[in-house]
Amino acid sequence: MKQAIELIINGETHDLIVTPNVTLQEAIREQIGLKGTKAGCEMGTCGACTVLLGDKPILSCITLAVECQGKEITTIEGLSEGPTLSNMQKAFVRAGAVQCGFCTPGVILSGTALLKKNPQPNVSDIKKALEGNLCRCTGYNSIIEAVLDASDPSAPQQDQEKKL
Amino acid sequence: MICWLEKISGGLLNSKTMKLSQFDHKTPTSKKEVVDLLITSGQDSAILAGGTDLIPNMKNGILMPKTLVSLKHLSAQKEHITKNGSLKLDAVSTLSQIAESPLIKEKAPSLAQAAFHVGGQQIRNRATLGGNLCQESRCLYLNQSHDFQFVEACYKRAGDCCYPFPDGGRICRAVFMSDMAPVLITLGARLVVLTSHGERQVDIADFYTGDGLKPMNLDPNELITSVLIPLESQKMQCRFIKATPRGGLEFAMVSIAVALTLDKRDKKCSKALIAVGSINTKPLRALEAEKKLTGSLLKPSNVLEVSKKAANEIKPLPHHGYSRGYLSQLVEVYIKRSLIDIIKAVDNKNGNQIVGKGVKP
Repeated sequence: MKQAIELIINGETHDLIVTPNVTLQEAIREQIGLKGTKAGCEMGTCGACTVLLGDKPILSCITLAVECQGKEITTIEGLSEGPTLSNMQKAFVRAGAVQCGFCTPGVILSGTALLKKNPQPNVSDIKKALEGNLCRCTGYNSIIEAVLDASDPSAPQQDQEKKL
Repeated sequence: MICWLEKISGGLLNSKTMKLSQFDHKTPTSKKEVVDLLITSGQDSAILAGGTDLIPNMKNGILMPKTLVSLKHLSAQKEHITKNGSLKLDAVSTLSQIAESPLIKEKAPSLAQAAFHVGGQQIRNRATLGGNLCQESRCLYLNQSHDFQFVEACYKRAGDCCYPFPDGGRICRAVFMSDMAPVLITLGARLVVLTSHGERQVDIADFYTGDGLKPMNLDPNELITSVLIPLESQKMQCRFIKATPRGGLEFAMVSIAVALTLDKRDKKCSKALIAVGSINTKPLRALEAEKKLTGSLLKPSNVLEVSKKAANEIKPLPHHGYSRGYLSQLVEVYIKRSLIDIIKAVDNKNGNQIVGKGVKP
């Protein structure tokens, strides 16, 4: 049975009519048309579909759209302001942490959520926060560098554990 | 032959891979209402808490409920100490909440550790304690889309065979993979279950059946509402170690939970509980090893003996490509490591140094 739901995506309210079996990812990609959220494994393993529900990263492929009624959701499109990239996105460009780019939206959202909670993470904090995002290209080193780069500039340079 | 081909092509044409089939979605606002809805919806209903286990299983076609009863309107009560000293956790608390709670870190550190090691960040933000305890058991054959397997369904999919254990009798040997369950077993936790005629409490040690087809002693119309950890367990030395192939985002190869009551001078062990998860159709206790440990001094030479004993008595099911021998070895090594870790912590507290002489942690 179809239901009317309201999702607040990147600050904008969207009214959708969905059946309960539509996942959040399908709603975001197919109904709202924001294609930055990727459909990877669609089984909750790879993290490509990561979005922020409130402040917290979740997997949109295994979350039902109807479960998010009235909730605030941030997708990768919500991080940049027009052509201006967010700090994390700029750091990814600087570090060359993007290769094929399929995992990148998810990784950037997980990293952004980490820095919000812990502005000065060390390498093991970053590894733990990004464990739910699989990347098959970069080998993760450049990604970790990018997240360190984007972390609070007033923080002391953390080069302990530089050898990953 | 033609019939077989038709079956396959028909299967493929009909398969909507990775799309969920239709179901009803109910959103009750109280626990009582959840149970009432489960009763009226009958056998074909399932409880949706975080959905991190249920929804992949529905996509794989292992479960096909007609009605999902969502717990999204039940807000988690904050963990607290009850009048009789038990630590009470709400079953809808997310694993992130458990991993980060200062009270749980203080009173049941191994539980916070176990929660911290489940899945990835995104999973922990959605997955709940109750859901983790009631997750489906797993098997390399089962946790794939059936549409591409071109074989008859197995017992768990209501078929008539078992692929990993073809000669094993008519039982499902999928492995129960919860990390929280072995920890709660060592902490002697009790589950509060809401039924149609009121609440009942179950000792978590009696909660798992060991039958892959019905891993839990829980009727379809019952709901776990909270978990109680008794006062005496909160004073135990407890550890949790999870062996995974690559550190994060994995189900365990073996997960070990240990809880010891040590006497005042922290040397003699008066009570010991060792539970091993992800190794069989239910979490197993190492009873012989516990007996050996109880009443004896906690020292490295004893630890070696105890971990050998545990490896001998715990019978692993080879799962996900790991052999029996390898899993037994993991049990031995990880029990040894967790006990050595306790000795180290106790030594640090007392200012001694006995580990390191002849024992590699």
